[in-house]
Amino acid sequence: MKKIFILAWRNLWRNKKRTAITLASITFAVIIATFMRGMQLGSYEKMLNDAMRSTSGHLGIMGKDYWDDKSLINSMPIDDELGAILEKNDLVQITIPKITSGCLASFGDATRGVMVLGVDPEKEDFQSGMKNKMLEGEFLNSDHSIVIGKDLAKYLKAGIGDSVVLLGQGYQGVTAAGLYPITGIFSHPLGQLNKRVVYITIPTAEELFFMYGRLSSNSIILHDYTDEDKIVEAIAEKLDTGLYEMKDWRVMNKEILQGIESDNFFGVIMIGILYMVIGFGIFGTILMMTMERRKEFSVMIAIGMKRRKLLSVIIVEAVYMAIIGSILGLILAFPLVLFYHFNPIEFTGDTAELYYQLNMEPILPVSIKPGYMVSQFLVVLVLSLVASTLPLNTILKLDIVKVIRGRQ
Amino acid sequence: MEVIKIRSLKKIYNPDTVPVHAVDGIDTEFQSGEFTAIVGPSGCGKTTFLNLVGGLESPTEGEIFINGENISHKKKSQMTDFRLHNIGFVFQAYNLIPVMSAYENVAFIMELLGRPQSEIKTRVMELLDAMGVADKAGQRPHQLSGGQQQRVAVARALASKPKFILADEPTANLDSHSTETLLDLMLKMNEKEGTTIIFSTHDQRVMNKARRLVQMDDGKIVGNGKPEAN
Ligand SMILES: Nc1ncnc2c1ncn2[C@@H]1O[C@H](COP(=O)(O)OP(=O)(O)OP(=O)(O)O)[C@@H](O)[C@H]1O
Ligand SMILES: [Mg+2]
Repeated sequence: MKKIFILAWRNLWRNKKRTAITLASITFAVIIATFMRGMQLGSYEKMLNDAMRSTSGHLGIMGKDYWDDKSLINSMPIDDELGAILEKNDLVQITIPKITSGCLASFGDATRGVMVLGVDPEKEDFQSGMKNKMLEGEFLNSDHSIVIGKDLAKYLKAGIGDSVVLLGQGYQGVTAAGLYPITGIFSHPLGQLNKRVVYITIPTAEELFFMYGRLSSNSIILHDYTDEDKIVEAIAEKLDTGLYEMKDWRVMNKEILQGIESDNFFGVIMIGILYMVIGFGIFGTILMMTMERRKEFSVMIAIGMKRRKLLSVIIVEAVYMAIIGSILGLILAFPLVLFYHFNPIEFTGDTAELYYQLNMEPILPVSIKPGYMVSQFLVVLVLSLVASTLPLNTILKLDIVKVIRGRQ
Repeated sequence: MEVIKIRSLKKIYNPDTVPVHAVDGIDTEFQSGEFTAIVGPSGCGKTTFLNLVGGLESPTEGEIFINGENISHKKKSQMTDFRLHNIGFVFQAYNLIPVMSAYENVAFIMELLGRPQSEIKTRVMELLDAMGVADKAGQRPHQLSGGQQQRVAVARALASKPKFILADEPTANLDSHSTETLLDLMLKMNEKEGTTIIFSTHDQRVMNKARRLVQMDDGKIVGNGKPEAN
């Protein structure tokens, strides 16, 4: 058995130049693929970490039927014990409580259907950077006041200090009605929010909707979205599934997920094409290595070496190439990936502005998750095994008598 | 004792198109310890005959018994194993594995047979020494002359102590001096180890070294006896 490895190793270096070229092409492909993949995955990680942060959170705890029917009747009681657990967990960056309900907003003659968001001002600011989006006034510096979008203000022809009537349905069907002065007007990059959103504090929302000690949802933001499973596990026991339901970002943010999936698909295809080209290179080399050795193979079979043993020599040769080439590639790609992880590519101009507006840093760090690097290695390994199957066939079909007689 | 027994052996190539009766009804035996030359004009069937006896090709008709065992109907893979355990081969060219040293080439067969390293070492060195190439043990084939390569090939064929050795024109690529050296060494080993050796040749001087001469023509044995020189 040991002989097979020695034999294969020596065979590999019989034609040094050819082997070197094949190895160089594998190495090069692995570097490119690793970097491309790292960037791609890095952008997803970023998107998932940041976009989820400013939208749904990575996990959401909500009343049992809330997801299907987002009315206050399906709101949930605040569970202090659960809150404490989440607070203490190091993987959790912050939890963001919300009360959400539709209302009518009226000022003077104008009335419009709006979304009232009862929030914790500090936490909300952390999540969506509202304090930086204020055109006038402040973001919820007191209870019993509202902050509205600039387009809504324009529509209602209301300004700071004007009191707006909110009218809607509270918890368990009671009428919710209140008169609140505008203390701030914001401008959000997502235009819809400027037309439709009204912010109030949670205590104000509790009052308005008669739902003391209840929330519509509580979103959990993690430092790293991939820790999601651990959190699910950590609170699984405490979560009363009769009352509560937990949704992850996949469910809550289907569009982003779908976007990532289709982007990922094309990325994988690109890398697939790259590897296919390399695969043909490996295939060519192994085929040549096999064809030019038909004479000695024939003699080896004649003197009693089983064909299967010969096959394993060829396979080991292919595996050697795959291992050397991909490890070399990974070794060279790693510093590159590492560098761009810690010195991320920075966006400038409008793109950067948009990122800032969305409360995201305008950078693209390259992923350093080891998984995708290992898979480059595995892909090359599988590739070379596949590339060596056809040459194997020539050995199985080798007519040793013809070769020895010099007829082939 | 009879090592090889051959009965009504026939090999017909292209039976359906242009049939070639390469071996056309051979009956003969080879006794243990014989040193036999197969001779005859080009195309008379020497190589075919040796390939049949060595189980590299299968006969169209007839039987080959080796130590009483009929090998004519064995499967390809079974034959490979049979060859490994029973037959030593020396070919005209490409005998040695280029990436292995002379030592490793000879040891190779014994390793395939799973012999212990200690035994391999003694045996290989003993054979390389006997064949006069002990000082070349660490050299790769391309560093050896044609004659030295063939001597290593003979050492390899002997390594596993096979029942017999088949050598198809082992000297065809050698100059006359190397040819003589190789033949003398083969003869020496035939006497020393008692190995049955059957080889084919065109060369008059080579056949004269044989103990028994089998003359072929047109796929048949047309003469069988001692060479004139003996
Ligand atoms: N695969 C084959 N297909 C068809 N004919 C073949 C094949 N192999 C050998 N022959 C024919 O069989 C006959 C015997 O060939 P063989 O090689 O055994 O002769 P030989 O005595 O070894 O000749 P040489 O001295 O030239 O080596 C020849 O006529 C040859 O052309
Ligand atoms: Mg011949």
